[in-house]
Order: sequence, then C-alpha cells, then structure tokens
Amino acid sequence: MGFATGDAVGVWLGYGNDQCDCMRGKMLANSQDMTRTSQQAKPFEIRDPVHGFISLDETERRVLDSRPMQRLKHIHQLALTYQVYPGATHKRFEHSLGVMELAGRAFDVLMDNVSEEAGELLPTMGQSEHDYWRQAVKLAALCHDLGHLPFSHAAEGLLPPGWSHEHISRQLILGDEIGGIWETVRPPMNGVDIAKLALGPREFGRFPSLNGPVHLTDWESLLSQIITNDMFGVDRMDYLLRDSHHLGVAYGKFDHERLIRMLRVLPARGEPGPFNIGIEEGGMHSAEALLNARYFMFMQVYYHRARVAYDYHLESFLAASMKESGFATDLDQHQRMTDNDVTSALARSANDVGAPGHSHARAIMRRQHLRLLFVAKDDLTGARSQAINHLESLCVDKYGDDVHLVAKPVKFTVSHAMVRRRDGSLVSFDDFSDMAPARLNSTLRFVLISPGLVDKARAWIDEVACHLGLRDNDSDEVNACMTT
Amino acid sequence: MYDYVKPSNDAVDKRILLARLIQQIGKSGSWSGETHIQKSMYFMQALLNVDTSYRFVLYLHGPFSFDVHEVLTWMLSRGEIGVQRYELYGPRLMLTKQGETLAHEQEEFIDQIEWVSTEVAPKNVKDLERLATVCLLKSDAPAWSDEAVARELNRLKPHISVDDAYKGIEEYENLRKRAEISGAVL
Repeated sequence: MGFATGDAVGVWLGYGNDQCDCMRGKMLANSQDMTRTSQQAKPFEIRDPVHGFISLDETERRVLDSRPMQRLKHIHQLALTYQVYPGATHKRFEHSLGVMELAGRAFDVLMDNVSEEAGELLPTMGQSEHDYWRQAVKLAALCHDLGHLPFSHAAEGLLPPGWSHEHISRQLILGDEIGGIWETVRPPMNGVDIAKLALGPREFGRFPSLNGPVHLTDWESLLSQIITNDMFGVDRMDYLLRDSHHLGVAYGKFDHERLIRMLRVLPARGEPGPFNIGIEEGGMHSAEALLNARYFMFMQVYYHRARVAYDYHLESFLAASMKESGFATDLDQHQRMTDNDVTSALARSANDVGAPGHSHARAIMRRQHLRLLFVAKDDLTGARSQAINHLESLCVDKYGDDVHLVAKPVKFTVSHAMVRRRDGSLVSFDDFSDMAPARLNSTLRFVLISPGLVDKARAWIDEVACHLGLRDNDSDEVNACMTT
Repeated sequence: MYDYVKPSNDAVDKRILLARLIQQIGKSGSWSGETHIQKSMYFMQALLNVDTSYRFVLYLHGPFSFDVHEVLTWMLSRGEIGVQRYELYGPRLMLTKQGETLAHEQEEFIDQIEWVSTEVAPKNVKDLERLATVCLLKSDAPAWSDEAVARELNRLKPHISVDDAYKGIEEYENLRKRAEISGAVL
C-alpha cells in the first residue's frame, strides 16, 4: 500500500481547527455561538465568485462547519484538471455552497408560480411546511456531494461492490455528526427527507435496506429534481458555471438567472398525472444554451486528452497503491482521507522506484503523462467499427505496454422536459426546440501512448489508417470518426 | 496493455432484447412510447421472472429504469431506433433497418416478449403507471393488505385516488393470473 488510510492521516490533516476560515466573510464575527436558534441568529453571508453573496441561516452554518462538510475544502472539483488548466483548483466545498444557493432560488421560483392545476396535487402546506421543505431542499443541496472520495471520481472503482459516493453521502447525512444537527434544530429536520432530496429517486432507490419507506413520493421526486434533474438540475448549472469561471473558458456559461426564473412545475407528459420541472417558453434559449454549454465542456475540458491521461494515471496509481485495502467505507476513515493525502503519497511514490504505482506517480508529478495517439467514437457500425478495432489491435501488437486504451462514456440523454408555450399549451422540449440539442451518446475510445514514442507512432498511425480506409482525405465523415 | 474494456456481451444483449421488444410491441399494434417500453420491460422482470438485470426505481410514471433509458438513448444515437412525433400522443420509438437486424438476433424469452407486448404494452400511460406501481408495492411488501397497498399508492402518487388504486390492485391480480395460466412465467 502506497499511503496510509488509518489514524496517521487524520493527524496530518489537523482537523482540530473545525472553524471555517477564509470563505467565511461575515461569518467570522459570529462563529463562536453555535447554540442560538434560527430566530435569534442573523444570516451569515459568504462571498462566492460565481453567485455573489450567499446567505446561510444557523442550521446551514452548522452543517457547513461540520467535519464532513469542511473536508470538501480538500477535494478538488475536477481532480487533476489543474495540471491542464491551472485555474481548476476549486473544491467541492464552494460547489456545494453554490448548489445550495441556486436550489433556494429555484424552490422560490417554482413555489411562487404554481398553477391551479399543479396546486391541486401538491401537498397542502402552511407557512411552516413550506419553510420546512425549502430548508430541506437547501440542506440536501449543501450535502449532496459529502461522500466524494479523494479526487472525486478517480477512486470510486476501489470501493466495495455496490458502494458509491452517493451511498457514503447518504450515510453521512444520516450519521452521528450531521444527523445530530437535524435532531437539534428547531423545528427538527428529518434526515431521511434530506437524503432523499440529495440523492433523488435514481440513487436513493438503490438502498432498500434503509429503515422506513424507500420510494420517493411524487412531491419528494419533484423537489429532488431541483438538484438532480438531467435538464434543469442546479447541481449541473453550478458546476458548468463554476468550472467555466475557474478554468477561464467561456464554454460553460449560459444565462442561468433567466433559466431559473423560467422554471415551472408542469405535468410530466403535458397531461394530468405526475408533475415535473419544466420551463416557460421564455426560457427556451437559456435551456438550449445550457445543453450546448454541457456539450462543449465535456469535449473541451472534462475529456481533454491530457486530462484523460492524468485520470488514467491517477486511477492506476490508486489501484496499485491500494490494491489490497481498497477505499474505506467506514465513515471515520473516509473523513480522514482527502486529496492532500493522495498528493503526498504521489510525491513519495514518484521518488521511490520500488513503491507501488511508481510509474504512474512519476508520470503525474513530472508531467510525463501519456499522449494521445487517436480517439474514436464507439457508436461506429459495420466496416469502420471493425477497422478501428483492428487499428487498436495493431497498436497494441506494435507498441505493447506503451499503448493504453481508455474508454470514457458520453451521455446526453433525450429530454422529456415540458415547455409551456405563450398560449398556455404544453409541448416537449425536444419537439419545441429549434436547435437540435447536441446529442452524443457513445463511448470515446482514447488510445494513449508513452510520450517518447508519440511522434513516431503518429506517423505510423497515419500510414496504417490510410491503408485501413480511416484516413480518406475526400471524406470528412470518416475523418471525423478518428482524430489525433 | 489493455485497460479498455470493449462493450460487454451484456450491453449488446440489452440492445438486442430492447430491439426485439420494440419490434414486438409494434407488431401487436401498440403504441411504443418510452413508458410502454419501460413498463413492458418491468413486467417481464417483475411478473415473468426474466432476469433483465435492469434496476427499476419508483419515478414519475411508476417503476422506471434509468439504465433502460440510457440504452434507448444509446440506440437512438447509433441509428438503431428513430423517433416519430405525434403531438397528441407524444414520441413513439420505432426500429430502423439497423434495429430490425438487431432484433432478429434475440432468441431467448420470445414467449415473454410476446406476452408483455399483448398484455401490457397496449394499455395507456395512466393505467400502466397505476398497474406497475401496484406490482412494485406488492413485490416490496407481499404481506400488505389491499387497503395498505391502496393507501400507500395514493400517498406516493396523489393523482391516483384510493378508489382508483383499488381498481389497479384488481387489475394487477387479473394480470398476474393470466400470466400464470399463459405459461409465460419462468
């Protein structure tokens, strides 16, 4: 094993100082008093580079000050992307705050604009119930990423079968420290409600062992959509805006303020039945811009060739150095493990030829990462698909262990969201959009090669690809299938 | 060194099974919207015991598999299915020529595919939601009384009244008996 997962790591982290620091802004003045009720406390404000001032009430501040939440200050939002885009050093902590802020805004817009038709099927609520669910949505948004492992998704494969970061998030939301907050606030919050909204039906439904009902009611599903919705979820909105801001690229930007103001509770199929989040016609262009933003960010940032190579090295390093132990699902150990520990282990391993994962650690620390030979889409069919498969095999035969093949899924699902036209009629987003949304559902197959061989291998590939009919200068279509 | 895992046979099989199901639903004259496909796949698994390896969770229109949704989207991007749009009925998924070729590769579970295509797929979305959610609740809690199931269904989905929930339970019991008699249950 390359680095410790036990108590020693906790000592390095120095979790003794549990108070928020530089992000707190006005919070500093009031941080010592943890016992006031929300009625007594003034709201705290935190300066956020994307959303301006974010206000927190006493309960939200207590969650923010908890150890699981503070840990997110040490988990990079975009793993090793900072090796490619130096600005990508932002953490899951500020993303969680941003999601909370947008979730509150979206809740207000949705509840302030409920149609008579939708109102009949939503729970009858007084002010206190309304406030309860608003708080639950915001807290769920704040907690939705608590379970992330070091460097976010890189280590997920090292969890025991059936586990995921969502599973750990649920455990943390219901665990002693954060669960204790729900019980002591007035009025008390139900941790299960918060876990359901944070994870949504897709992920929460994976844990049937939980005491109590596993299914989400239509109301809970609707509220969880504020955070998790594939089209209009604020998790997605925040990460696109935030990543774009920090990286210094404009691809991820869109008019999110307009989009949120246009969100509405609409019949899921445009006919009587369950409700989902949709938009007014006036929000169409903002919604289309969001789809484009996501597409561009995937192609330009998340699947940038060097980032793919770094991800590969990081995953390989973690797999080699933690071959036997895997990642802890014990909450205390999980809390002790952050990017800082992995980075230290990488530095040690890079200097120790005998250490597990040495070559990958060295590739990361000394920027000797694999280079792209070519990338192909896996939704090819027939002869071209066979030719690409053959080309991959030829690469492996010729370059052996110097060639690495990495598959990355690209998922842009079909949208079933509804749009309310200006005349009041309902139509699905896909039917109404003038712009065919970018849809690429496939696997990108990256063929990577050791840096010292890249020039020679590219020359060879050009020759072989022509021979296999994959580099026909007369056909843009074929060329588009394979790029170097 | 191969770190890339090519799409498994399982993933290919999932497309083939879905292609055959869409084909059969079309042959039976039913509307092949996504809800019809989702619920047919759900009943194949929950009622006929076909191990489709899909995970279903309660969602907007009853049990829903995000995996089925993703495979359908994947098939769409590969040109194996296309979408026909009708304003009154919503989008219908149809096999393309490529998809038809894929469908012919399915050799197993033909009886089960035919059964759900004639017994489940022709129902409208509202009935499918009610029926499939009853099935989900009955599978979760076999010991529950009809009253408990009806009340839970109404709690989860307030647009389904308790009276309608009872009708759904009755319909589900009839469907279950027909499945047993047909010999399609594995």
